[in-house]
Amino acid sequence: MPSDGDSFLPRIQSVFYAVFDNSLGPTIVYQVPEGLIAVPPPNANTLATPVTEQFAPIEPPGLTARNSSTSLVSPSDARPTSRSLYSPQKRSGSSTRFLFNFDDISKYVIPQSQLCGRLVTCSTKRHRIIGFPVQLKGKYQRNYLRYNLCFVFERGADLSCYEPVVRKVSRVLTACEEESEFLSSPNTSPAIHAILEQLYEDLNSYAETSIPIDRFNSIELKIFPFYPNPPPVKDWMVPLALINLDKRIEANWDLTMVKVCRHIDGVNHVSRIAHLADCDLALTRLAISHLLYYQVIMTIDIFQYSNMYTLRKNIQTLAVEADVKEECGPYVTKPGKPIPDWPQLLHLYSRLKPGKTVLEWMVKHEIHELGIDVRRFTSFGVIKGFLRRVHRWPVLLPSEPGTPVNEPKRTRVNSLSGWAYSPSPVVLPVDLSPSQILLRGRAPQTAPVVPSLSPDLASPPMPLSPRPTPATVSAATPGRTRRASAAEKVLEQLRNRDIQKTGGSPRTSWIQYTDPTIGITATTPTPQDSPIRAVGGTSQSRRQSLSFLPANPPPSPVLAKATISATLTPSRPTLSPSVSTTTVPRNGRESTPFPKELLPLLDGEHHTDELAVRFEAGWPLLEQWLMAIGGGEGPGDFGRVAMIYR
Amino acid sequence: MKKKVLLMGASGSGKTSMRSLIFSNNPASLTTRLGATIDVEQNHVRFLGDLILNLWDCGGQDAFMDSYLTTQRSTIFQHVGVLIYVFDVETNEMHKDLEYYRDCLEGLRQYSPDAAVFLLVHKMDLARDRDATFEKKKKDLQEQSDKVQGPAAIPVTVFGTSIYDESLYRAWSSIVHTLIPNAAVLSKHLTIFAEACSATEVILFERTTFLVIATSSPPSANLEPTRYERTSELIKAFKRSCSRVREEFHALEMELPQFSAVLDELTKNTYILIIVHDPAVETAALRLNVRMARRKFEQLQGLT
Repeated sequence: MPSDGDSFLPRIQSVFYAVFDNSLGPTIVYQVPEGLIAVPPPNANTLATPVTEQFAPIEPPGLTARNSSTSLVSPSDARPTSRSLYSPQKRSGSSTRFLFNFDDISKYVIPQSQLCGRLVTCSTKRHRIIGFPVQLKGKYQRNYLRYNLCFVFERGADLSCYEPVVRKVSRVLTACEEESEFLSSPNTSPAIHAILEQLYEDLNSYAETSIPIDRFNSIELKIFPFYPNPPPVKDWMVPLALINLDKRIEANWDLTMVKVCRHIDGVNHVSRIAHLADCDLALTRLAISHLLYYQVIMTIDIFQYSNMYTLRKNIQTLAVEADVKEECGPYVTKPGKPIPDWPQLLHLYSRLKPGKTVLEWMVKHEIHELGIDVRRFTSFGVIKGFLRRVHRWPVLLPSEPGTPVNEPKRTRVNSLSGWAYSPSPVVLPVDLSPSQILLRGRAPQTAPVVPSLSPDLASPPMPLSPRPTPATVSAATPGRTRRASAAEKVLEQLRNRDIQKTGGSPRTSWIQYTDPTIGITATTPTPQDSPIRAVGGTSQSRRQSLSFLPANPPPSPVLAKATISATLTPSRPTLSPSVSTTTVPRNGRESTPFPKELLPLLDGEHHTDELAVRFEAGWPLLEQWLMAIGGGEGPGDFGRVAMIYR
Repeated sequence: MKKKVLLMGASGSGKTSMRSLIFSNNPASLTTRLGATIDVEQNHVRFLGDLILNLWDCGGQDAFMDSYLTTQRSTIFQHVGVLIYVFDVETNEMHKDLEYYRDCLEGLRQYSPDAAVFLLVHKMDLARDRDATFEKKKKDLQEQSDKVQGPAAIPVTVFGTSIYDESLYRAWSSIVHTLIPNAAVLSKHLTIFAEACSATEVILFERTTFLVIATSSPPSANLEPTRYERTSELIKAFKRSCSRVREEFHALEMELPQFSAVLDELTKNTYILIIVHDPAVETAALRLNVRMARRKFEQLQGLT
């Protein structure tokens, strides 16, 4: 994000008008400023001092003077078209001013017919030239008039905002030529020079211009900065104004925008803003998106004491920047307290690590005594860009070794993430044996999450674990091959140990999915014997379409490919109807009721902020839910819910 | 086998028109609609089966010519089989033309010393006194060429041409003739064939361009020297009329009191024209002969 909020308009180095002369070939007729582009003289006089390199790429031996009697129009002064001898000093003196040779690019300025009528950009070593070559058919000597009005920039410039300008200029000139032979008639063509000059001056100075050409035509141009599309706005993002929005609000602004702007304070997140402003959430998102597009706001994250932050690599450069050093102290200190110096603040920043919450950090370093406003402290770091938030991505691991239903299909990934936001069921069978998850280190891949089993879903097929239940039908998609890897075997062992720990029964009844309406379709030969509900035909078909795992996966977790596994340790034979959907009767312990919809989201694709906003639960509550889901034993232990910090 | 043919000359001298007339079979009137050639336009023309002419039509404007002689020098002048340089008979910049011509010849000598050079003095229909003008021009050009070439001179052939008559065909037929590898062999066989048919003359044409490839040895009778190109021109015009009524031209048989003629496809890319003055010979017999000779000629052209 540019710090000044404006997009940078590249400066025009030169504007020139080139034409295909019937006897000279492609030549520059006018260029502004003069003499920046080298045009080879029609007479290369061998008697003169050898010309500088800018003039002729190679001096062929014995190139004698040619008697050329033609010349298109009286050229500008610097153009050496006259036949008189040039004083060599004059030429060599001005050689340093040349940007490049016209010869190098002439074939792209006046190209063959196939390139005419299109925007053509070419580059030399240090410059970029953009033009719109035109081939106009008409009563000309050689049946066509070919010309091009080009703009020259630095090579690294971003020309996206000039493209419409070039097109328009060409369009207007073509229209003038067709109507009144503006370009080809010798009376009016000198006016082109004036047009070039005005274009060059006005566009560079004011980014807009209005040039009358004749009584009926004029060139009206305005350059609009070209911003890239803003990133998608999520409900858990917190917009922070970079300019004083209230001052800019006008009476004719969009109503939603006005309402939304009032609540942008760097603390409220998007869904909160929607609530406070009493606006529709989708409209609020759009408004924020708009503000992001114009780069007048930036987004940071919700501040909670349970957040974790870490420094980014650019701290090395930013830590010594004057504005960072000077602004930090006053910004983060509470009013009335002494301002700590920058080294101390930097030290505090460096103590923030992933895995350590802000609360822990505060306690350890006695932030309170220092009089530092922690929210402003962290947001300063995020805004300046050297601190970043470490999110928690919870992943629900299957409880049994053999459970995972694997969806070897990689395409699952998309469906899974899409699925998160839609109630449609199905779990995306993502398969992946936990081992894969661990190996990859990327949460989403491995969560063997239970397939969406929201009650409202029609019995979605469950991908999953191969629990054997003769009763279950829906065989998963047949014929999926699984391969066990050594790592998986290790993981299996680990899981076995886990299971031992938890009492062995994979029937972690917490499986909500024991929703009676949900059918389990896996029929895997797991040792579990809990009955699995049969899935209705619809789920069956649905499953098929989802290509869930095969019905009889081998006991070892075999995952053909890592994809998001949304399989719960299936086979929870525990899907016995007796299990209430919301409670997790695990080993008889009481647990906090948690919403069923949470389960499918525990696939590693949704971090806790998102979940918190979605279910309107703060971290403490969410923490409890996760513990309940995962069957953790005590505070901090999430049981089967693995937490990935990223 | 590929042969590179360079077609160069001053701007607006008629190079692209020539190309359009001979190789694209457009009528002369359509050439007024052509635009200026930008840089080099390359064409591949399949001639006689295995001979492919790689035609380089080079734009003649100053900027292009300068670039051919400098930056693109080796690209242009390497591996050239034939250089055809076109002069506009009406030009008032002869000096400049000749200067560029000499430079091109230099370049050619440097990179393709074995190339053949043909000079076409074009737009002869605009010259007032055709023959005199042509002779004078021819002399001038010879002089200029000799100036450049010095001792190891490449022979230069000069033709006067115009797209509005058959002279263009003559020039191009000669040019192409030099490129055909086995022209002499073909000629010999055509002579044998002519004898077998009791024909006055037998001519072998290329199918698309109708340029003369080979002929049987000229008969003793006094025949019009321009007959070949005139035939080319006439047949091409006839073909065009056929295409206008959406029919394809295949063969021609004529039986007239003075002579009989048969024009038929001989091989995949040649046509044969047999002219017989003997009234006893029937065209059917001629066609039969053509059929029987087909295989031999295919073999000669390397098609079988």
